[in-house]
Parts: sequence; C-alpha cells; structure tokens
Amino acid sequence: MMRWLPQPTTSDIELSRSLGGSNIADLVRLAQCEWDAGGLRRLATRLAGIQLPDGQPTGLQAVRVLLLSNSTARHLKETLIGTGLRHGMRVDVMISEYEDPEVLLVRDYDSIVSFNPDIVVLAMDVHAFGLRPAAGNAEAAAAIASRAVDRLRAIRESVRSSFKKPVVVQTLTLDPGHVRLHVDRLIPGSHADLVGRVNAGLSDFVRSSGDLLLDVAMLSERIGQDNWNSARHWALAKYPFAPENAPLYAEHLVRLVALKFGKSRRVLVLDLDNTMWGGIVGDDGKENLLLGPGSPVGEAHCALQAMAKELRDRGIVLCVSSKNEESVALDAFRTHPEMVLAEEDIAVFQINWTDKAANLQALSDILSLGLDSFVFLDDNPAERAQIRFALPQVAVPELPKDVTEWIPVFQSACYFETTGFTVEDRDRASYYRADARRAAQLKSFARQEDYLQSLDMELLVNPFDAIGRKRIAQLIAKSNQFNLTTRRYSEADVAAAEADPRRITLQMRLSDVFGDNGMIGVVIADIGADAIEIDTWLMSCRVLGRGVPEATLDWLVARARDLGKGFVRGVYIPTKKNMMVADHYRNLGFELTGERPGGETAWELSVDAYQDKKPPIRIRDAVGAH
Amino acid sequence: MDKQADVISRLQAIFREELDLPNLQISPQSTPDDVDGWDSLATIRIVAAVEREFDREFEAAQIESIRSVADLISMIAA
Repeated sequence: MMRWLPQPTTSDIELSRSLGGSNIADLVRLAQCEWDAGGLRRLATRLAGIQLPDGQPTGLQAVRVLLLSNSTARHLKETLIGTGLRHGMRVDVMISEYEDPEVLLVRDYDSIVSFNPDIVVLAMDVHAFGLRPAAGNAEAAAAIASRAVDRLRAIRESVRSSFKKPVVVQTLTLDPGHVRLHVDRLIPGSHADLVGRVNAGLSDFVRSSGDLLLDVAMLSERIGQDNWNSARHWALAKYPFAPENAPLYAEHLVRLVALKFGKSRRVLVLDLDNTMWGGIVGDDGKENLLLGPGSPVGEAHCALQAMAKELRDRGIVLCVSSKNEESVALDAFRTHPEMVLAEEDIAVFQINWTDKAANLQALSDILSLGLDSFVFLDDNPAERAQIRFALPQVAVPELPKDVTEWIPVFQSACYFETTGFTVEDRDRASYYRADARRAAQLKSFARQEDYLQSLDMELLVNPFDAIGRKRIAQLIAKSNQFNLTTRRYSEADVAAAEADPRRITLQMRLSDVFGDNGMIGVVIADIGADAIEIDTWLMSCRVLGRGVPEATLDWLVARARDLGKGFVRGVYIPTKKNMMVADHYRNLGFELTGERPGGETAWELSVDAYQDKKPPIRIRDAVGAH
Repeated sequence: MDKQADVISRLQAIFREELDLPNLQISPQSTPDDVDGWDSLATIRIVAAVEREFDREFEAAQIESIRSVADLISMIAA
C-alpha cells in the first residue's frame, strides 16, 4: 500500500521481535520499512522497552498527540507510535474516543490536562456530522453545511481556550451508507453534495485559522473508497476506516504533525542516467538517450522532469547527484531538446565519481539544509541502499523497476508536505541556486567498507563462451567510459578470442543482495613471454565503487603466478569519454613505463611484489576449470 | 500432528504475536478472562490474523460471538 517504503527483510522482521537494550538507531532504521499494524505495534513495544542511562537523549523529538475521535481509535495508538519512529519522533499518544469531541473534552478533561498534549487531532469522520441528505433542497444544503463548519469552529475554539495547542482537522469521506449516484453531483443536498460543501467550508476555516489539514478524502481517493471503508469493521467495532489502512493514515498524520516540529522535506536530489533520462549518457551518447515522445520510457522520464519542475515551483530545491563525466552530462542537460528542466532549475550539480553519500553530505553543507530535509531519487537499488545505510535521515523512495510506474508511487508519499504556501515559498528555490559552489573536498563515506560488506557480493568469472558471446560483443561495442583501450571487436572477433589458447578471456557477472547485476565486465589479455598483457578491460559504470577492478586484478595476478609470469601489463588509450580511467592503473599500483604523444600510457605491475587487495567480493572462478 | 493440534499451534502463534506475549500458552478452553490483553479490539486483530493465516473470511455475527479459543477453532473448521 505504501509502495515508496522498502519491504522489511526476514532479518528486519526477526530484529523487530528481538531488538532490546538502547539501540534507538536500529529501531529508527527498522521503522523506515513498510510495516503492517502488527509490525508497528512491535516497534512501539520495543521503543517502550528501551532503557537509556539517565540524561542520555534519545535523539528523537518527543511529541504528545491527543487524538479525539467520535468513532473507535484506540487501535491507532501503537500504529502512530511506530510510525513516529519513521519520522524521528518519540510520539506519546492519548486516545479519547467514541463520543463527540464536545463530550470528550468535558469527559476526559482532567486526564487531557495531565497528559498536556503538544498537538490535538480532531479525528472526526462523517458520522460525527450525520449529513443526512436533503436532496433537491439547496437552502437546506447550505444550512446543513454551515452548521457543520460552525460546529467545528466551536470545537476548535474550545480546544484553543483550554489548551492553546495547534490542531489537525480532517476532511470527510462519504458515508457509504447513503445513496450515491452519478447524478448526485447535480443535486443540491445529496450526501455527496453535503460532504463536498463541508470539506470546502472546513478548508476555508483551516486556511484562516492556521491549523493543519489532514486530507482524509484524498487518502481515500488514492486507494479507493471501497478499500478505505470496511462495512464489517464499522458494524463490529465502529472503526472509521478499514484497519489495514491504519499504517497509511498514521504515516500521513505523523508527517503532518512532524511539520509543527520543524521536520519538513525541502530538497529533491535527482540522479541523471536512467532517472532524469533513459540510458547512460557517457556510454550511449546524448543523441541516443530515451527522453521525450516516441517511447513510453522517454515519455515517463519527461513526466518525471515535469513533476520535479512543478515541485520547484512549489519552492522545493532541486539538485543533481550523478556518477558521470561532468562535461558530458552537463552538455546533455543543457542541450538535449527534450529536457523539461533547465540548468537554472537546479540549485547545485554534483557530477563526479565519488560515492553518493559523500555527495549528499556536500549538498547539505553547500545549501545549509539538514539531510533530514532531503529526498533522494535514484533508479539504482544499490545507490538507494547505500544512502539508507549511510544517511538514514534522508528519505529514499523505493521505486518500481518500470519507470512509467514511478510517479504514482512517488506522489503518494507526499514527501513535500507543508503547512501552507505563499509567493515567498515559490521564490525560495531560486535563492539556493545563487551560488552553486562545489565542495572542494568530498569525504568518502566513512563506513563504505561496512556497506560493501553488507552487499554480500559475488563475482562470477567465466571465460568467453557461446552463450555469452552476444552480450560480450555488445559490451565491447557500447562501453565508453570505463574502457581502458576502447578496442571494438565484432562477435566473430569475440569467438576467435574465445578459441585462442594464447589469450585469457573473462566475462564477469556480479550478484549482490539485490540480485544479479548481469554481465558487468570483460577482460581480454594475451599471454606473453614474461607477462600477461591486458588488451581490453572494461566495466559497466553501474557497479562503480564496489571493488570489482580490485577483485579482477587479484584474479589476474593469481593467473599470472599460475602461468609463471612475472608481470601484468596494460595500456590506457585516451578517448573523449574514458577520462575516468586515466589513472586506473596508477590507482591499482602499476608503474608508469611509457608515454606516447596523444596521451597513451603504458603500465606494469610486478607480480612478486603484489599484495592481494581482497575487496569484500567472493570470486567464483569458472576459468580455472577449463 | 493431528489437525486440531495443528490449528491450535497456529492459533497460539497468532495470539502470541497479536498480544505480544511470546510465552503465552493457549488451549481450546482459553477465554478473554484468562488471557492478558484479550479484549474486544484484540479479538478483531486476532480475527484479521486468523483470516490471513487460514485464508478465510468470517461474518461479523461469528466474530461477535467469539467467547473462547474453541469458538475460533470451530469457525475455522466450519
């Protein structure tokens, strides 16, 4: 139901049952997943069990919420507490239920005073107002609606005078018990007409009172009114909506409450390749990107940009974080004719090969906006996982594989909720782009090693074979960025290399906890008199920063030793697109042995002196078997 | 394991989870009076979990008349 939240893993579920001690960070991390009411109740129970040494702060914002409901609401208490953790809050909840709020405020007055709420939720559903139809009677319709709004105003007034606290007011959904036909929109006084009038009237009221509006009518529209209501649960226990919707209701209510405590999302960080546009600009070239009409994927990327632009018009600061060659990516951004976003819509571009956690930290420093105001949109599940792992305060929406499905998932999260909107809000985003300074030094994410360990990677190394031939030839034809020599070979060349006993051929696949990344690397090397001479070494940029080159070199050196060779040699041939690997061999510990005009460099590694780099990748070697 | 024992063990897991009582022991004779926290709202949670576990949907009248674990067992068996 909340598709933007990741699903808990088996170990998350286990942890939600067993977590003890004082580990609030783990609890907050767990809360980022989508839990049903039972799961949220477990988190609430774990939170209640946490014992901190005296005076040690929890790091959570403590908030006391009073919820007044004319129906049953007790079952929402622990759902709200568990959801609060997702938003960095320790929510304490008092439920006052099963009567009109006027009665509750008197009946429970003493306990409300001693509870001392920070915020009051008037969780009134349509049953509190009745709204019996007066079909065909426009005058009666107006009177019924204004009576309902007046009543709400009076309740608000009595909360104000007793507790002086902010209030959340809810819009109403239709009572499924009343007649509802297409024609009802045309009939003044029909139930649908009355509900519409009351919602309009209470919105007017909230606009002027400065309270918060929880648009329950919108929530029920999103999932469908037939899914929102449960006739059986209304009859059994007067649940105002189906109990399985409680986590969704709580998520939206808590996000709104969090606004009153300064917690709001104001920055959207977008990836470029396969997010802003379809394809990888460094490999595919600007002209082959999927963007704009003509393909469903191209249209979806356009629609995503349009949504981002609309958010910018609402004062949301847009930034770009992309692993790319800056000049290539910026050129596409500036000059692709189908771009909806313009350069000046983006406050800061971070285009480099550094890990994204470091980039987000830099963005936060540049903008002077906390990471807890960031939302990070990226197609790559591993990038998303790294940010969740490194920077749990950043909101990272889970996205379906199919880009055409992204928008409804993203929109239903309502990340950028605000308390209101003014012209100043609209202009705010442009203040941030005034100086797009770049952080000079990016500090790599300190726990990178831990993160890579957590990916549980396995590199499957195979010699070329008939099954892989087509994909190998494709990678050789397409890879531009991580490609040391950019030598293009046909499928027939690939087959010839495969059969040549003086050549070493490698096709590599990388799998991790998120699944199989497919074929991500190719190496062709010649067995020379005293060395292995690397002819071709290329890798997909999708798996950059995972230690694959290090693992590949460990393998190559081991092979050189088996063959009794003393050296591994390689060359770098510069092109317009492969600057990122100019220092590839230097970084891996090779010595520079030659340089040619045009920038071609030759490198050598002594096998005797080599120490295995041992990145956190298991190598499954099928080459040795041949 | 006979069928009745299987149903009881699955129910026990549900009761433990929904009432957050990891060591709870139930029998067909257990009633709301002798199980901590088993109130009318807990019944609704338990029924929801039973419906998921056994892929069934019960009528409101049946749910309302639950007075013991035995009542649940006979609803599941029906």
